[in-house]
Amino acid sequence: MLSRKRTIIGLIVALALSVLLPSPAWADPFGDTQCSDKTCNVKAGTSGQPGNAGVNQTTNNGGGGWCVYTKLDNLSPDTLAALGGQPAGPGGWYDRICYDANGNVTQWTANWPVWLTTPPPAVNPAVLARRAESMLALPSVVIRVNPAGDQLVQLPTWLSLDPASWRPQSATATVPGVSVTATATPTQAVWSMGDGSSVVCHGPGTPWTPGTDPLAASPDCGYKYTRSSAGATGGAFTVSVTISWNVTWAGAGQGGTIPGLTTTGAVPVRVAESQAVISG
Amino acid sequence: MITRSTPRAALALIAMSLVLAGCHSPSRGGRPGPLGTESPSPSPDKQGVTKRDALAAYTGMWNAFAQAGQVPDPDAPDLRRYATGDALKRIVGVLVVYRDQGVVTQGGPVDDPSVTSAVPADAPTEVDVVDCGDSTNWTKHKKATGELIQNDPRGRRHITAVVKLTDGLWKVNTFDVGDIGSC
Repeated sequence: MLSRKRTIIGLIVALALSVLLPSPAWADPFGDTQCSDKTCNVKAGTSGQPGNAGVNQTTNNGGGGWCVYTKLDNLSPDTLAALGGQPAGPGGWYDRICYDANGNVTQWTANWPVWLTTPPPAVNPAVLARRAESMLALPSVVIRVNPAGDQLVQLPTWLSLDPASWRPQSATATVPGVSVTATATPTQAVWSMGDGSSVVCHGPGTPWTPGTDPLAASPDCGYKYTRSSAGATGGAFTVSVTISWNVTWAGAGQGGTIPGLTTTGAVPVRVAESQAVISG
Repeated sequence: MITRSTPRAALALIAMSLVLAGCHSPSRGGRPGPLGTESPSPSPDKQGVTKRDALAAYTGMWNAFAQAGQVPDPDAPDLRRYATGDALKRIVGVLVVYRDQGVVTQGGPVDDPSVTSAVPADAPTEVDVVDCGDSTNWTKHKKATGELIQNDPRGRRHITAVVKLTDGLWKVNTFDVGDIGSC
């Protein structure tokens, strides 16, 4: 028995929030013998429905549970006889623990070996990746438009983002046996300048610092207004930026990409004619 | 007390003598005796023997479960001695899972069973048992470390069982366990 191989196969029915799982103990030995649901009535040889067997698939509150199957190898003839005999045909005995959306062992799931004629599907890492993706907390967008104060027509405006707005983020979703980490990396920022023009930058931009030549353009993300915002609503252009995030995932020896995410932010920017400054 | 001489009755008589042989010697060997039964008389009446042996099988099953749980060993012979059918299936199933999950038990249950019916009346082959089993001192532990598994509620449970004369021996055939606090 010491050399028994364990094959952990997880099945995600619907992904849940939990990262840490409690110990699968929820009853005394008396209670462990109880099969208050159909689980104990799984007859040897019954066609397995791994996707459904014993799993509460209610999706209330936006999440269901999942079951983890462990294959039970090398059951002895006496054990098999007690379980009702080894069913004919292909299949295997599994130890199954099911969890609810909060990671608690479901009360009604018996502590019971089940016979499945088809192996439960392994955890699909791509599905788990979706869960990880939903756990990503992408930063809010903080815009910096420099030099500070009103921008001037025909003078370079430097566009940049707070460093915290442009930083790779990752999140990990775990079910027993499998972890998948999704990583979001910002790839580009599309600036809508409010005057009808757009600027595409492939980085967070460079903040203008005092002492920098006002006539110098941003090295990587800048714009030059050609008209003032005097005629715009409120006397200011609304500058908005949309950051595109490339999301990749890795886990269980696999990996891939997920359709991207975006974050956005906006600020009002007043653009004045330069002569106003000169005269001022 | 069987006066009819049908083959069926004769078989039952043979079966009963097998039961007596099967149950008396273990109890001399220090096994837990039946609880809550009438004390055997030198010439026990059939109902009394039946009840005693059926209850011995009932408590024997739980004690065998407790013993096997210390290993845990789903193949423990005593389980087969006292349980069959669905009852054996459930206990073996639990022990298989315990073994797979690295769980052992310590201690054992305290039972207080009694017979609620025995049929047929003249030569019972099926006995209904009711019990208030107490798991307070029947704990689950991680085998590797001995650590008590927490969140493991224990207490008194109302239990019903059907004990049947099976191949000449009384064995628990089915049982049903109520919630903690149900008795």
